[in-house]
Amino acid sequence: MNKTSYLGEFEHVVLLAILRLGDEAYGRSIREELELRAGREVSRSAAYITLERLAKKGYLDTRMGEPSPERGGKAKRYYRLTPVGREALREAGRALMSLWAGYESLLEEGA
Amino acid sequence: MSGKLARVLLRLAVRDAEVWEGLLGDLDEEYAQLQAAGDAPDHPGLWYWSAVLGLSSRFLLERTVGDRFRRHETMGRAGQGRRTMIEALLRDLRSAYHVLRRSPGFTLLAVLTLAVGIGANVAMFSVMDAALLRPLPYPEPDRLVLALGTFPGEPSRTVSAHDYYDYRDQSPAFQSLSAITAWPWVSSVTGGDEPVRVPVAWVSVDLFRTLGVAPLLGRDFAEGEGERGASDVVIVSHAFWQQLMGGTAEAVGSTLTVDGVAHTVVGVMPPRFRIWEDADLWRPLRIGEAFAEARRYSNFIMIGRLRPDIPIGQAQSQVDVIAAELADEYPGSNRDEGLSLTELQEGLTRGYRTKLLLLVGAVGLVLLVACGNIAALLLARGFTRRTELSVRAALGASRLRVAHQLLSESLLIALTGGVFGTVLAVWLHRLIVGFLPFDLPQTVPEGPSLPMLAVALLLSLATGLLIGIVPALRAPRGDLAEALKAGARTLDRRGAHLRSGLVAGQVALSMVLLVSSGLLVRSFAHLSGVDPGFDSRDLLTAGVELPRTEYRDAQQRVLFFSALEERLKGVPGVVGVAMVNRLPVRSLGGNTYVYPEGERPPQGTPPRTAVERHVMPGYFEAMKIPVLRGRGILPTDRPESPPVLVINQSMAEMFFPGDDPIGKRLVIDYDEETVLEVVGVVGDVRFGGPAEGASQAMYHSVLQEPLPRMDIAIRTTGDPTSVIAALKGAVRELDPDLPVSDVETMERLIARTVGDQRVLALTLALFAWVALILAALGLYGVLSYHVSQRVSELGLRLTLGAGTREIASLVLSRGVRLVAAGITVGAVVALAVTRFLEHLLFGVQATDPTTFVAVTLLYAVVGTAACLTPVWRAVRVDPLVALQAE
Repeated sequence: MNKTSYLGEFEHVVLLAILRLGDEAYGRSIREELELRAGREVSRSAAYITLERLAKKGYLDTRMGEPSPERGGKAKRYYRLTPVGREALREAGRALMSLWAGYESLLEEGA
Repeated sequence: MSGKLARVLLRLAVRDAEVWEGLLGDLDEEYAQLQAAGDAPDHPGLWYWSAVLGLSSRFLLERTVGDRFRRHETMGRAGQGRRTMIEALLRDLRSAYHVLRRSPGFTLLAVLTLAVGIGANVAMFSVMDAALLRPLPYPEPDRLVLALGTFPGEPSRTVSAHDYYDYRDQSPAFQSLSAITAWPWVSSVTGGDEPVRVPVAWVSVDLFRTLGVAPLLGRDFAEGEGERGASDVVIVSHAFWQQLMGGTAEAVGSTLTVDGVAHTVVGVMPPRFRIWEDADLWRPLRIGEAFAEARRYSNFIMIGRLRPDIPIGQAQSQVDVIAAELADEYPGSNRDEGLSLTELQEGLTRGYRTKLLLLVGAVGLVLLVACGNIAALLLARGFTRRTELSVRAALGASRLRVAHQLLSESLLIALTGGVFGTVLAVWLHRLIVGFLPFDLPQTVPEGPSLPMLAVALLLSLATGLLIGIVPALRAPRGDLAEALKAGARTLDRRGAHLRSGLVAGQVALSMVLLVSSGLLVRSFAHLSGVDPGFDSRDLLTAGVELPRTEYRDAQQRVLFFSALEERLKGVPGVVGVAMVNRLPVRSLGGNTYVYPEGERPPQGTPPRTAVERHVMPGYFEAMKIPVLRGRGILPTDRPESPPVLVINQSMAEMFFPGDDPIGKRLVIDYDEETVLEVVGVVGDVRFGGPAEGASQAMYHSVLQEPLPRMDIAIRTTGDPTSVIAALKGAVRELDPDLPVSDVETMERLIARTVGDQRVLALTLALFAWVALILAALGLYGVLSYHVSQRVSELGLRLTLGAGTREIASLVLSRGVRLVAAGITVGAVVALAVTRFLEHLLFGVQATDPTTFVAVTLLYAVVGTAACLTPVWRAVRVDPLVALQAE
């Protein structure tokens, strides 16, 4: 992936959630984290599709955990940021910050 | 959690096993969390399925289309073969959707028109599928044949039980040959929840095995149950079992009293099982039952299963030989009788095949006309959107791409119409089945069937191509400058020609429909006006059959019917009572050999036959059949007086041309020869109803040969149905156990004989009107568009001194030319098509000039009406405004 490829807003948020969850980032926990932070429901299919899309782009690594009975004997699929993913997230954050620079006060005054 | 199927589905959509496993685990975990929080869904299965379906569809979409829905990622990814095509198609559909959403009025009109058109076609198809196409619901249905008797002048006729046994035992072509009564017998049944009268059919014990249908519950008839003296058993229909026996398993083995005799229920047939006529009870046929007693009691039709590899032709040759042997052996009953085999499906649908195909064709034509309208609209839109399309082309879209774009718009319209049409069809096809005047050989499925959905899809795609192909071919080339320069001023000459062609085609197609329906309507009008030979108004008809066991003696029968007649004559409002063994229209058949005394036809010459009836004195007066010469049947024509015969006019002309028949003697050759003296001549009667011709007929005195079964016709002063209670009361007073069967007014009976014709004429007329209106709308649309395109030209003409009349005739002549072209083509096509209607028509030629002229005049009026508004608009063009618009 080249650097001109932007992160979508939702992709951005998903990557942040994975970063925050650290070793405990798998489908269900990521969705919970997103719902907690965003304060609204997150579509199940949107979340999973985005995860797989980010993995395909090389932003995420995946590994399978151990099967557990409360999951019907199924294992968790854990996600972790790759260096490329971290770089993309940082890049996106930086772009956003610089865009934001100076607007905070404008919003205050305009309100 | 539940749902193996759901998991498999998800697996197919996701493909990657690890992703799939993770998803399933997450779903289980999520559900457990919901449960723990007390938020467990009311329907866990539903929750799970909706989650799986949501995920599956999203993953499938991702896999087929990828994330290229998102514009910034689509660049530089083309050139991947099929995938690109699908992408392009989806993109076209998406943009088609946006384009159509911008003109909701047009879209709604087009979608609704096509929904109705496609819906009606799909519904008709589904009916045709059940009636003609789908094999009968029996194993190896192509080996099943219908065997009907034949007799000179009667192509389909019944056979006797004796004949059946002989054919069964002597013909090696059949794996099994079975018989069923040709008409259901209405029996009183007690022992269920309430006493009822239901139709009963007698069947040979192997009928269900021949068909390959097993009872749903209990057992089939056993071989021995067809023998005389076996215990009385009965198999009931599913509906009877459900409604009158509570639908419980205990019904099998229980007892029903059928016409006073206890019968054991041994089986219940599957739901909707039906063969030949509707019946609720099936009883085993036994030689010795009243209607199976003698060889001359022909009450059965046969259904056989051919041995594998025996073609129907070979079986036919075999039964021909047997029929000839039977005729030799039993000349009294079987002379000239034959047997004709047809494939069962063909045999069951023979009566209405053409009519159904006619309706299917008609509804197809309506859709074609509707397509014409929408294609014309699309064409006009294509022209007004020329600038937009040219811009697209200039920006690098190939002409093919623009054409694709236009085609995908029409496809989207047609597919949407198809979806609504299918929903409509599911409802419509049940309506049609209820409306059709004939019984289908198998039930039409309640919901949508697979072939029906397939046809709906095919029809939608074909419609989409049909309405889109012309506009797509007219897609502009990438000459942007030309297009922009031209603006809205240029005339779209080629487009105008195409639209005119479309309208002329619509006129032609609807003309074909109008002519066909016109012919059928005239034919029906003709039928309604036919004199049946008696006064059919204010007549109530019914049948009474005396049990042969109780009314053995001829005198008893005469006494009963005379007493009944007396009682009925005393009922207020009754002005006449006619009694006959078979009333016209109501009961048919009864042909017998007859010849003038001393003129016995030599062996090998075609025999002469006539319809034979036994009447009570006063029959002709009550029926208002005119006595032309001599006298009618009198109360003095009793057993001790010489046997007499009254013949009708046709018979007099045929047997005694140019001679006075009174006093002549005729020999009736039935079993034994009887000589009778002709005492009168009466008017002809159409025994089969208005659609049938009059046949030779002769009337006996029933007093001289009392029969146990009589039809009754009661002539009333007012509404005939008002004496039903009095009729039933009179019969009950004479014999409380005697049923009165099939009480019906004569007019209803006659209406039923022409019911097919009526429904066919009405339906076709409806289709024809719809087509006419669509064609008129098309004409109106084309002319309006024509005027709007030429506003500036018309303005210029007006400025240069053209009068209103010139302007009006300019527009009008265009409309007239279109209609004239359409009518000419339509008339030629109609002439070719209506030949196929010939045998459905009564008293009208397929080339009936009146119909053709009337339809042409109708078109002249409708066409002019469609032109009026455009003409009016043209003459009101304000030259100033028109020229300013430049």
